[in-house]
Formats: sequence, structure tokens, C-alpha cells
Amino acid sequence: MIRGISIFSLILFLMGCAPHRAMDNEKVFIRTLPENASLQLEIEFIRGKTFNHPSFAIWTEDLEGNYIETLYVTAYVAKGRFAYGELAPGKWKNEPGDVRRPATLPYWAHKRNIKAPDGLYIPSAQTAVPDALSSATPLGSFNLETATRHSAAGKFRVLLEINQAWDSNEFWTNSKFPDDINYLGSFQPALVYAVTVDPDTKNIDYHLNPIGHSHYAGTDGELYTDLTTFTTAFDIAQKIIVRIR
Amino acid sequence: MIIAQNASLRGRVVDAVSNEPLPFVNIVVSGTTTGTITDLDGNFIITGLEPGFVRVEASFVGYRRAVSSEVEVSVAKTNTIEIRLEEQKEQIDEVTVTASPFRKTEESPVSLRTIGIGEIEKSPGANRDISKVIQSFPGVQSTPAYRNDVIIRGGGPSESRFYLDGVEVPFINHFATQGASGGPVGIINADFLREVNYYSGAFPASRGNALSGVLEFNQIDGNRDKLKFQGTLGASEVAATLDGPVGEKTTFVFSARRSYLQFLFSVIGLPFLPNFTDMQFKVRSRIDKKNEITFIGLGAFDVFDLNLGIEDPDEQQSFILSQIPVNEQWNYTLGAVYKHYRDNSFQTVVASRSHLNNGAYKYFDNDDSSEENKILDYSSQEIENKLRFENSSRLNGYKLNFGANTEFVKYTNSTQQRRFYGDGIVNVDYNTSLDLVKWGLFAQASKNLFDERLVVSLGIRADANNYSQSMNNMFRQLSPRFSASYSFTRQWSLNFNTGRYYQLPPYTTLGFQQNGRLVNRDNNLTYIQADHLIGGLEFRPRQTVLFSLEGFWKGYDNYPWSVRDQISLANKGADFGVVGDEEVLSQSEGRAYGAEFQARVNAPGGFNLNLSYTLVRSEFMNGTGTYIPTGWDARHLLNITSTTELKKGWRVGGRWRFVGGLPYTPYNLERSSLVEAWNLTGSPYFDFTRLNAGRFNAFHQLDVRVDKSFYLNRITAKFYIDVQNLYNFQAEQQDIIVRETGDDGNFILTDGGTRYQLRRVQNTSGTVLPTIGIIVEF
Repeated sequence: MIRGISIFSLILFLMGCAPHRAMDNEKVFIRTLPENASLQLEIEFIRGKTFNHPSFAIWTEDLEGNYIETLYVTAYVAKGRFAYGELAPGKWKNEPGDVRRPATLPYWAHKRNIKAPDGLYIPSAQTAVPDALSSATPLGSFNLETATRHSAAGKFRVLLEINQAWDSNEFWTNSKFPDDINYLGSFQPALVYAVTVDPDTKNIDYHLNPIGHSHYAGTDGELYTDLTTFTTAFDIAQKIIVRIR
Repeated sequence: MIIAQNASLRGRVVDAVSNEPLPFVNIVVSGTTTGTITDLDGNFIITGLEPGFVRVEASFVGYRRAVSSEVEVSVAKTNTIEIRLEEQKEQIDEVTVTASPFRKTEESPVSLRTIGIGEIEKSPGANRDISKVIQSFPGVQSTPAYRNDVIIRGGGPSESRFYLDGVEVPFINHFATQGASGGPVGIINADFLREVNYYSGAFPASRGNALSGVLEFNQIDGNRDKLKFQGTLGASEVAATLDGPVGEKTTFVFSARRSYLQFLFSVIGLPFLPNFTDMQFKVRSRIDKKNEITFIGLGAFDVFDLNLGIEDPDEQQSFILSQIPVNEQWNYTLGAVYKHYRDNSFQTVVASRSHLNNGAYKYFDNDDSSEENKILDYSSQEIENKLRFENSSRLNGYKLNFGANTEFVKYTNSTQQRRFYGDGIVNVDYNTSLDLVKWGLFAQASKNLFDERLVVSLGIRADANNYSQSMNNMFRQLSPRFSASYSFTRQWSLNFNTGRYYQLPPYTTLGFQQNGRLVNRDNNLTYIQADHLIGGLEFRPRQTVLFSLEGFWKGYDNYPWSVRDQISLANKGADFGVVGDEEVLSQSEGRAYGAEFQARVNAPGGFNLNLSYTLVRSEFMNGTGTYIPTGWDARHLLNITSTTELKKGWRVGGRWRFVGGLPYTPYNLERSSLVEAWNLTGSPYFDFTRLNAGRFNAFHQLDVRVDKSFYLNRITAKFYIDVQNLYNFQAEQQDIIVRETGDDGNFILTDGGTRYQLRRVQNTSGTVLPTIGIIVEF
């Protein structure tokens, strides 16, 4: 048996020493071109440990909460067309197709305020976000070079809404709203992050922080500020920083 | 104490052949509407589950719907399961296709039973011992509490093979009978088990050297999130299991267990003091999507001492003390399984080493004051180094599996013993060191026809070794097999299998020496042959309900025949010690036939029922060419096992089993009473001219079990009470034979001092055996 034990320890030791691929050392650079933009921004997104193909949107608002413009949206949401289409509600096929998922980024979609023919605010083929504001979903950390039309005078806010499909936890369980097909595609609702940026104060890092979450099924565009039931969703992003270029 | 209802389960769905993760697969917990979808990496998590045992169903377009193995979900620990989906070329409306927890493969449409972990954990009377759990299944003979021999469909306990995650393990019981497989207590830790596939026939071509049974144990993977500990305190043993991640790609499970029977038995005054220790581990590393490697280990260290401190031993104690040797045994298996996946196939390489060290000695009347008194000095080793390559693929609608295996064996045996046969004392004194190389080839092809209504599978394997001229020609051990299954409705199917199987006689027989020669090699020892013919009817009225009826016939040939005892070795192996170390001839013929009925319900609500009835006859030819029953000719085997989940973590279960009267061989008291004969063994001799001429009364027993589980936030605690033989049934046993003593305390001698005066004492076995178990997991 001594031999058995020592071989076991050796295996564990070797496994422990095996080099693990460093998590996403290579950062992706994305550039978007919002219309009439004047103030150059750089947004650095550092992925967290539960990052797993999330959908997200980044946009600006004035200090009163009025939507200014979208800076970036991941491609699937931008077009309402996913790599795996829907066969029937909740059943998926092995080829791309149009999918309506209102629970994905409802806060941003309602702020954007463009209704699709089916009455939902989440973009469809008819109400797609222009290609200039979108790219394939980054697989890890990324730097977004973009710009806002907000003039140099006065502060404004940069917001990010992020949601990962099927990330249930002990509060947002798989059995919480068993009949709500939209909830069943999301579980922990989309999180909304924000920071106020002062164009006059450059050369500093503006860190976005969570300010609330969206409706669990995307039924409304309200912001719900109780975040006590969120767990792994906080770890999708480790840091989100805005810099003025 | 608050019982939280918030258990979770993690899982991963991959393509069964290419190992590619399958995204967007629908996952539903069986019997509920709770579910989710796999993410782009094929992973899923389900939360908000009620703690307990669950199965999940996976469905995706272009794949066969699948039901996972049973898995326990708790609050304190998130378990992980892997589901492998088989591609389905023909598009069948997936809504109408149901998947069942009762598996059926192309190769083995009959005689394959899958046993989930829930059934193992909960099985009344089994005390989490898998060898006892399978005794509830059709075809398997139930044994009294103290033996775990795997006796399937009238075949002896040496006729089964065991695989742990694809690695062959020669022994699954402590205090193993060398040359067979049984023992009193299982080695495999139930904490490791995910699922067991039990074949009583229709063996796949990749599994050789079995005549009656193949048991495949599939183990769990370690926890991917964090280190977890589980401690088990049973009535006879204490065990600890540790599992967790090592880096990102690797998980491990490790357990150790030690019995304290020696202490217990000594306190209650039993004449023997067994003690066992075992260890088990599994390390699995997913190197990348296309490569993975698993290391497994299983080891046992067993010491069987005599309790010589008993003052004034009673008859039963004297009987046992007089004949049982002191035994020290250890064995281990270490194995590595490497899998490489390609687009339409995967390759498996299995390398393993098994080692058994078995030693025993006995002094006459346990008097070790002089070496003259030593009547047995035995030490033996069996070392097997095995290598197997398998290729599995799907090609043009065919499922193909082919491969090769080789094995390097070293067997040593040093025996000093005198044996008394009818014509006098034979001095058995030999030292064997046998080096053996074995090799084998196998291939199997299966195909679905007529919209999957008909499934056929054809397999062949061939084995040989360099022991002798009679064994080194593969064509003499050509082992074909054929299966067919026809589903005439979605619920009813007819199934069939036939095959010819070969098994190498035990090393104890191969390496036995007489007058300095391998006498059995000189006798042209050959592989043992068994032909199987099995037909079955299956009815699956619902996803979780199965009724099956199977008829079987087995014809044995070339079974070793004991030259001295003039009986077939097919009758030996269900007792402690060693079998096969004697001169034999490959000439014995036998047959076993019968029918099995099974009803199984595995409802998601926690109700399990397993009813099995087997009608079996097992017969071998005697020296005059007439069939006589073997020791396993039980005729009727009936098992009813049922467990039910109640509210608040309570569970109750019961098992009732009935074994028809088993044959036994009467003693030859004439020979036994001879002083020179008795003094060589300390026990009576059987009258093999009346082999299996007696028959015991039928044996039946009721076992009950009550479980209570507390699923708390940081800890899971389980308690159970298991009572074996609740109504204290006394099973008839062969009489005890003791030597009569006179008033002076000396043995009475007759016939001029050449014979002992022997006395028969009626013997029954049976006791109400309560066990309390405590399992803590955090």
C-alpha cells in the first residue's frame, strides 16, 4: 500500500505543477463609432471569474438620467439573432436564428426606447443596432475605444448593463418562476453599472459600480436597487474603467 | 435546525464520441419542470432543488435524449455530473422519444442492469456494500450475511470480472478467496460510485475472461469547486473521503477506511478477529477538450487473527478455532486510463497493475510451540500488468469498437501442506514461479435498422497465452457473440443474445506443482468454455417502470475436474481460503438454465421498487456422466426491495429475500475421524462420492432500514439504522463436528488410538444484525 500512497501523492503533485493556461492575457481591442461623437473615451473591461459569454450594452446619459447614445452592444443582442436559434420557446436548434430575449438587457433597451414590431424594446432584425456600434461578444477582457457626442461642457454618466444566460444562484433559482420562459433564459437578472464622468477632469480612472438590476423577465425598464440576492453575477466583471482620451 | 430546500447541481454535456461540449442543450430535472440550458461551453447549473437523489434529462436536436445517472444534491455541496449525448442520424421527433434510467445498449440488449447510486446508498440490508446490493438483482444468488460471493445464473464465484472506470480489478472483497472472488466485505467505497452496470450475459467483446458476470463500476469525479470532506462512522468501520480540485482541470477523490471488528469481535467473544483497511483514489484530469487522463487506485490490507484468549470455548468456537488458519492478505490495483477524442471516434488506452499477496498458516490445535505442529504454510502472489487499447467510433450508422490487450503476469506460490485423500497422505510442498504473457483481440459492430426498431450487434474476441501449446493458439479460443433487439412498439421489445465465452482457469491451477512439474500443464489444461443463449421480453409502460422476462441457457465445457476429489471445480470457491491449487483435468461439463422476471420502478418522487424472481438450475456431470446439482443450484431466488422517500429527509426501506434450499455435500465421518486425517486440517472431510447429495431448507430474511438526512447550509448529516434479519431467521447450516473429550479433558481416542470420537452438533446461522451509520459531509 505504501507504493499506492506514494504514487497517488506523486500524481497529485504533478497535476498541481502542471502549467495552467493564464486566463486571457491577450486583451481584445474594439472600436465603435457613435454618430457625431466628439469626446474620445476608452473603456477597459477586466473579466471576472464567472465571465461566460455575457451580453452587455454600454451607453451614456446626462445627469438627469436622459439617454444620450449607445456606445456599444454585443452582436447577438444588437441584431436579435443568436448562434443557436429557437425551435420552440426554451428549445434550441443547432443553427443560427432570431430569438426574442427581452430579459437580456431590458434597462438599456427601454432607455433606448425603440419598439420592435412585436412590441418588445429589445432589438429585432427590424430595429437592429447599427454595425458600427457592435462586435462579436468578446471572450474575455477588452478595451473599447469609442466616443460620445456629449460636449466637453458638463458631467455625464457612462452606464453598462450586463447579463449572463442561465446563471442561477440560491436566490434566483431554476424553480423561482417556473412558468416564465423569459426568466428561465436569464436567472440572475441583468446588472447595471454606472459612473459619472467629468470631461474637465481627465487623466483619472472612472470606475463603474453596480447601481441596481433590471426586471427579471424584462417586462419593464425599471431599475431595482436591492442587490443583496446577487452572487456570481458580480463576478462577471472584475473592473470596468472609463478614461477620457 | 433549519432544513434548507436549496440544493444545486452542476453539469456538463458533451458529444459522446468527439467529447465536444454541447451548448444550448435542454436540461430538465426528471419528474419536474425545473431546468436550464447549457452554456456555450456545455456547462449548466441548476439551483433551488430539493435535496436528495435526482436525475436530469438532456435533449438537443440531432442527439438521442438521455437520462443522467442518479446524483445526490445537497445544500452544503454542489455535485457535478457529466452527460454524454449520442448523435442520432435519423431525425425522430424528439418530443415523442423518451429516455429511461434503465439503460440498454446495442451490444447488450438483454442481461444488462444499471444500478444508480441512490439504490446503492439506500439498499436495506446491504450496508452500502455493492456486492450485497447486486444480490437484489435477477440471477444473482443471495448469500447469508457473512459472504459476498458473486454467484450469477448458476455459475460459480470465480466466473465474474470487475472493472473500475474501465480498469480491471481482480478483487472487490476483503479476505478474498484466491482463485475465486468472494469474501465477507466489499472493498469498493460507495462514496465513489456513480453507477454500476451489471451484466449477467451478453458481454461486450471488449470484456473478456468472464463466464457468468461482468460488473462495471463507474466512479464520481471530485468536486470542482472546493475541497470537501465526508466522514462515515459505521458499526464496524470508520471511513473518510476527501475530494476536490487540483488546479483548474483536475479533480481528485481519496478515501481510506479501517474496520474495528478486531476490537468488537474480541469484546463479544467471537473466535476470529478480522481487521481490514482499504484505500481508494481517483484523479481525473481534462487536459484539453480532446485529451483526458484518469488515474485510479484500489487497495486492501486484511488481517485475520484467531481469538485464542477465549476461555472454555463452546462447540462452535472450538470448531472454528480448530480449522481456520491465520490469514494475512493485501492487494492493490493501480491504473491509468487515457482517452483521446477525434471528430468521429475516440481511443482509449488502459494500463494497470494489480498485485495480490496472500499468506496463511495454521498450527494444529493452534499450538505453535513446535514447528512440527505447522499443518499449513502458504504464501502466494499474483502480479498482473495489463495494457488495453480500444477504438470506438461511429461510421455510416455503425457503432464500431475494436482493440487489443496484453497482460504480463507473475504468479508465485509456496505451499507446505499435507493433504489426506482416501488412499493416504499426500505431501504438497512446492515453490512455483510462473511468468505468463496473455494477449487478446476484440471487435464489435452494431447497427440500428428500420427507424431504430431493430438493433443488431456482432462481436468477436480471441484470447491466448504462452502457458502451454494448448493455450497459445487464439483460434482455439474464438469467442463470437451476437445480439438483436426488436421493438415492436415503443413499450414492448424482444431481445436476444448468444455467445461463446472463454475463461482462463485460476493461477492457482496453472501454477500448481506436483513432483516438481506443472502437472496441469502436463495434463493439457485448457480455457474453460461457456455457451450462452438468452432471450428476453421487455415492457416499459412508463419512463420509470420496467418489466423484463428473460430465459437463459448456459453450457459449460472443459471445466477443471479435480483428479483427487473426482468432482468439478465448478462447485468450489464460496468459502474462505484458496481454490484450484490441485491437479485437474479440463474435462468437466455442466449446464445452467432458467428464467428471470424483474419489475423495476424508479420514480422521481423517491419511490423505488425492485422485484426479481429467478428460476435456476445449475448442474455438472459427475464421474459417471450424469448431471448432478452444483452448490449453486438454488432453484428459486426471490428478492423484493423497496424504498420510499418520506417528508423532511426521512426514508424507509425493506428487503425480503428467499433462496431455495442449496445443496451440500455430507461429511465423510469415517475418514474424518482418523487421527492422521483430522490432524492435517483440524476439520472434517467431505464425502465427495455424495457430492451435493444433501439439501438445506430454504433460506429467507427480512432487512429493514430507516434513514434520516439533514441537508443544512454548510453540512449534510445522515443517520441510518439498518437491521438485517429482522425476524431472526435461523438458516440451516452444515453440522459442526467436534472431537469428544473425556473427563480428563483429553480427546477420546478409539480403535487403538487411531480415531477420534467425533460428535455432530446441529448448526444454524442467523442473528438480528442492527447497524447504525453516521455520515457527515462538509
